[in-house]
Amino acid sequence: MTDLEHQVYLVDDDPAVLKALGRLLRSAGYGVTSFASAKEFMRAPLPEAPCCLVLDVTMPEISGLELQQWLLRVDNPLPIVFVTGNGEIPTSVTAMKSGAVDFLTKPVNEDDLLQAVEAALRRDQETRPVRRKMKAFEDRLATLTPREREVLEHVVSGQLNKQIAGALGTVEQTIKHHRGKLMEKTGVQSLAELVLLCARAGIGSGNARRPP
Amino acid sequence: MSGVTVTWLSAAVVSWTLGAIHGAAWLQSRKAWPNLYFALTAFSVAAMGLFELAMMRAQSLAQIAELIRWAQLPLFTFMASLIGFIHFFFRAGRPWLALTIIGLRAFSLVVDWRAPVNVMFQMMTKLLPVRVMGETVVVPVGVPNPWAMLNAVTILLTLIFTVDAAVVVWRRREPGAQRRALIVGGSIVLCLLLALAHASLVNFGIIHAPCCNSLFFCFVLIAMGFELSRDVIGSARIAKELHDNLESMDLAASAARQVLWRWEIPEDYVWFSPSGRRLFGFPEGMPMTREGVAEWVHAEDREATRRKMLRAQLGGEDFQAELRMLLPDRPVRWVAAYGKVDFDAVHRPLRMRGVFVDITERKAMEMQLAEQRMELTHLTRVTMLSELSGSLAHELNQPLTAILSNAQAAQRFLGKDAVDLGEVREILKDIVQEDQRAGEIIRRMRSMLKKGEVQMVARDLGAKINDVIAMMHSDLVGRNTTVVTRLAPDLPLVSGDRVQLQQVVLNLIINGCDSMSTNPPEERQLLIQAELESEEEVRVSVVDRGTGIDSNLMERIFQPFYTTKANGLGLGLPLSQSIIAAHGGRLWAENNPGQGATFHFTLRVVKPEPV
Repeated sequence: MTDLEHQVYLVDDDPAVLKALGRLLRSAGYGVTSFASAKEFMRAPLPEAPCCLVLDVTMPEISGLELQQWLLRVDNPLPIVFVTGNGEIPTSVTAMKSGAVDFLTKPVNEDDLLQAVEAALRRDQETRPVRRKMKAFEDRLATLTPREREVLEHVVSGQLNKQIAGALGTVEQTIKHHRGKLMEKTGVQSLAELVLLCARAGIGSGNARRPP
Repeated sequence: MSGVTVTWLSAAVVSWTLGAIHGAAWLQSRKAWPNLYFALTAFSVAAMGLFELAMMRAQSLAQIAELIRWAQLPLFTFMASLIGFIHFFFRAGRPWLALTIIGLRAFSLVVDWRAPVNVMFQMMTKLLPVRVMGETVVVPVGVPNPWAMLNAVTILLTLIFTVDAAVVVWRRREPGAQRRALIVGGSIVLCLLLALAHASLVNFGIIHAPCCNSLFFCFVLIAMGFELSRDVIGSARIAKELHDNLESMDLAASAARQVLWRWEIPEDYVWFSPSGRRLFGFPEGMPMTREGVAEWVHAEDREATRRKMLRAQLGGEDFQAELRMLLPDRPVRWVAAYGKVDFDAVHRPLRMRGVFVDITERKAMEMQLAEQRMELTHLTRVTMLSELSGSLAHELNQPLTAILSNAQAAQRFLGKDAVDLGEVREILKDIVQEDQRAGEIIRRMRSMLKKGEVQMVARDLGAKINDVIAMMHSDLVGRNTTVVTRLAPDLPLVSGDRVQLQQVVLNLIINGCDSMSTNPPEERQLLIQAELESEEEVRVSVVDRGTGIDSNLMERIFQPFYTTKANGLGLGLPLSQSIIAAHGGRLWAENNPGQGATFHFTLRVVKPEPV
């Protein structure tokens, strides 16, 4: 699955290593974007195309692990392949628990690296349509009026129109109208789909994150 | 021979002999004034004896008158030299009294010569035969000269002078002073009294007896001579003691592996203590010159030693040098030489005397100590590096990673249909470069791990500091610590051993980083400054933002085996300090006004050789 559309993002503070790894990945047919520090990467616009991140662990200022945590915080599920000079087990465990695809020790053998990158891209590709759908759904959610939003939350928690009207102090007919409107705005086909998407987006469950 | 002749002649001969002995003693040592005056006194007494003998055997009045007149001369010298003897022997006596006596006596001489007969008689009437010791001798009879009283007065004054001087000596708290006052003073006083009494009795015609002063004074001489001879005997004892002392000194010197030496500079003659000669293996019985001795000095030490000796001769300082001596069929010997120069009145160097001490063992011990210290320094360095080993491995991993990935990339590029040779060339260039980088890292590490000779050469301090920072790069990244260097431009070269200097810098950087390990990452900054401290010194300061040093511990941190680290040896700082001290610099610490501490050290600037 060597496709030029596939972008590999490379972050390493050692210029020589950065250059060499970039070359290797390019020789295998990937598009490569190199960054000399985590900060530089964080400032760059986040990619839309299928991609993954090859990340050095030990770097000045912001380390690879810190960058991973930051990506989780900003909700970017970019698959990460770590490379490190000293393969300490605690570090690798932390990285893997936080969802890293692989944790490779320098000097990295090309087969290991390419396999890991391949796996990372596959994961990205698998999750990308779902994410795209989610992104679209979330974008649509943002168009709801506050009242529709209120109604939505009651709907996904499984309440009947009558109950919702009671809770919001209005008549059943009004709720029915709002409900039709929000189904239309979110573009879902069924109530089941709405509940699923809302659950993924964290709406309706107490401990879920709220969209911004 | 008659009894009279024998008696008087014996007295004269005894006096003469005593005089000759002490005269000779004076000739040996010209400052021995008592001996000189004693000799003069004794000769006078001998002369007096001869005159007295002649008087007793006189044939006519005219003859005896003439003899009496001449006899006044030895009497005068007797009185004068006796007073001189008392003065110098006792180191006492009133000078005015002495001068008065001598003056009166000289006046009496004048009178003697101007008088028609002599100072004793106004007129002589006859020669009276008297019996002495069973034989008949003559004594003069006549009208006494009133000036004869003058002689009596001088004898009386001499008595007073002697008693006065003897009392002074008696009161001195010196060993033997009282005995001396009693024997010498007492015998003089006794004899003068006898002479006075005898002369008075004869002069006033109460008895008729020949003049026998020489006999009385001979006894005085014997008493005085006895006392003086005590000193002569004493000096013989002192000479023996001196000899013994010399021998013990020689023995002590050789037991302490020392040679005493003396160099007579104008004569250029070198003397060595005999057993020291044997000890050091100097050829025996050979007259030595300075140049000859210099031959034994190791060629490398010869010039420096010569210069130091010259400086001592110019009067600057005592001679002091450590040098190696190479004698035929002997191993090299380390010698500490000390010497002092004696100068004459116009400050010309007369002689140099001193000692050679064999310090071969001490030197061997010093060398062993230096060896052990080097081992310890090396051990500390290895320990320090082993702490860094993880990051050093990481440091080495970087070029290896680059090389491997570059090579594999090249393989892939070459496998393509259209080979981009430009790309491959670039890759190969990078591989070479990274290989060199790896080599550099290994070289740096190996030089730090090596246990080599200390090489004090001119060094670029800034380059050495940067080298250490490069070596620590990964460690610093891992510690989240930044190092900022502020090296003054155009820093002069300093004299030092590369590895040891790097060890000190490495130690200070690690300490600085350790002190900041609990700081938030943005507060982990280490500043290294290098600047000119003075014309002669460069100062390096390592400034941290850590916890600082407890003022109670300021001294202790430089003591061996004191450490605040869980697995520290406590040798880093003491060794760093001794390394810097061995480089002729100082290493010290102080707390910063704000946060953290600063470690400073200085190094000597290499002076450009004058062209």
